[in-house]
Amino acid sequence: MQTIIITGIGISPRDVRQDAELKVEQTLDLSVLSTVLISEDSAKDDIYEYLDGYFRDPNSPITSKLAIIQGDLKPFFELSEQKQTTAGEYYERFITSLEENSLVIPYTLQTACAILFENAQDLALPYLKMGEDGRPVSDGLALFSGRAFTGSTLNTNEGVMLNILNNSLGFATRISYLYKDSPVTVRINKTKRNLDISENKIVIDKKLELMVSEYPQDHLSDDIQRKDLQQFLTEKIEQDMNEVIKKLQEAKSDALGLGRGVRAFHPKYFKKDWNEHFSTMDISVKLSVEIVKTGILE
Amino acid sequence: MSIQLTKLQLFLLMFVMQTGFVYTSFQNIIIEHGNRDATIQFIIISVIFFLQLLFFERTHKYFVLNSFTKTLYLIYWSLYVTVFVIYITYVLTSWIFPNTPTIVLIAIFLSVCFYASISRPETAVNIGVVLIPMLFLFLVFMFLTIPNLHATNLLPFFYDRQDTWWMGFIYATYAFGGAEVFVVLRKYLVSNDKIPKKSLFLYFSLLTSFYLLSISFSLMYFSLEEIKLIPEPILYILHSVEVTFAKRLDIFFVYIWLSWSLVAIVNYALVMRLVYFEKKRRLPRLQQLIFFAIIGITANFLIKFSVLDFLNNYLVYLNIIFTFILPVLIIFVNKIRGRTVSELEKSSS
Repeated sequence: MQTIIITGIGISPRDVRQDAELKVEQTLDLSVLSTVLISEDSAKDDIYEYLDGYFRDPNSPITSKLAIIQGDLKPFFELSEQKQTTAGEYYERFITSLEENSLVIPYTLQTACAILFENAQDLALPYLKMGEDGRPVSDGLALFSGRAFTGSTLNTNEGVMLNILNNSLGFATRISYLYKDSPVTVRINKTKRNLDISENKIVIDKKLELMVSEYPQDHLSDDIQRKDLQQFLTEKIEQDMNEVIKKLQEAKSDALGLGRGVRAFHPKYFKKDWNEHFSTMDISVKLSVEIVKTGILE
Repeated sequence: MSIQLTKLQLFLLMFVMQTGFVYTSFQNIIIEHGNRDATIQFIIISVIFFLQLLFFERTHKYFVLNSFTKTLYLIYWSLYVTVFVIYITYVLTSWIFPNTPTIVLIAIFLSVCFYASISRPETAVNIGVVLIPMLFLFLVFMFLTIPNLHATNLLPFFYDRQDTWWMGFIYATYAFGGAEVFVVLRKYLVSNDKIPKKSLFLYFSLLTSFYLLSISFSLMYFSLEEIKLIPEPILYILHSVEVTFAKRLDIFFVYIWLSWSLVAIVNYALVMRLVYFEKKRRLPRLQQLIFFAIIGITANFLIKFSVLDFLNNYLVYLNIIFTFILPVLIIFVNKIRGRTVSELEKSSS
């Protein structure tokens, strides 16, 4: 299969397509659109300006994936020339795999659009950069405030924390730490979230059920050892989660949709300029962790 | 012309006529005005509809149409069917057939309606049965969107009301347009006994739940600002559902909805036939052909976004008059005068 990359120039994505069509003997078909990549410079303005055409056209599949790209877009498409696949299909599989590992929040064009129009939640889209070996690499999540990219990002570990806080777990959600100089990896089995909301304060009461995936020290059937590990994990995860919240507040990006809960159950505390109010609130995570499975070893 | 209906057939006819073309479109206009109170507003109007059904059941024998009210209803139903055709064609050209001339689309589906209308009345009565499995399929597809719904979008109630909030109540009546056919068709029931309240309640619950599902799903799926941009929320929701067996689920549903709407047109045509051909008239087939031709030609001239927007905003007032107000007036006037359906039938025989 030979892939040809066509570039176009125009005042809008539709105009760009029209310009690109001048260089090929076929009409570009949007019905097979699988991924939309937006450069970070473009995303710093209202990204809906670039997306409106996709929502308006019934032939456009609004289940396509969406990602923000660091730097120039061109090298990301040149990938098609090296691989037996189109760039769109490649990034669709790539982002799906990130979603399955809970590294990014699963959004499609449509679900992202619903958030762009929502004043009680903000987007956090996959953030991709070009690796030194010429392969695209996931670099976490690009945080939005309103309809624009803030320039702030979460790294991949923080992305996992965001997904856990957001209850948007993929097929496998794993976290690793060094415990007593030995690695421990846990997989999130179940998660629950309750919000304790007052005028300027939100406490996120989070409960996690974990399954141990890696623990070379073994002997988790020992109550003392297991409870000690649980305590360690509670402190570490809670600390990481609070750091994520702090980053979200600094970016004025309510990627967790805490505003939805405030608006629904405490409407008098919900402010029209939610992003501003969110950034000034006292928000903290209170975590409780329970190890419910230890794999096929104890 | 006369027919005999069972209770089930009566409710099936009403269900198709009351959901017909309104089902894909009315959610955004209620939500646009009622915001998060749309579900509550709809439930309040549905209770009024249920009380009206109970009232109709008690007083249906007084619903006698004279030549003036008959003409009024025939004009109203013709207008309603024309709006159906305009809307169906607009949706088909927007979603599936952007390059097909509108007159071709209209000719194809109105010829199907015409054929069903000149067939035996039982055809029009029973044709709605084919929709039942399709509606179940539709519900299954809708439930696929559950992971993307935000239940918090339904709340808070009675909080951010705008000046036009009360209009939500007005537009909620769209869902119950066509309720007047209950009193029109009531006299054709096989056994003219009372319809139990339980049956009326079952029908009301089914219709209300079916509509409530569409309003609450639209509210939970879209943000308030987004839904104002989306004229067909249900189609759009299905457009965004990804399944392995079809690239575009919305096309599948558009065909279901098209057949649903065509059956609704056939059912409206049946009600008009029953009213118009109550007296024996010459050349009934030719008259029906002329009727469908006029509808088709008129609709073809009016398929414009601005016309649809106007109709969407103002048709509801005609709905309220002909569905809620006029039948009640007719019943009161005839009750005062002591005119009943059975007396009219005796005098005409």
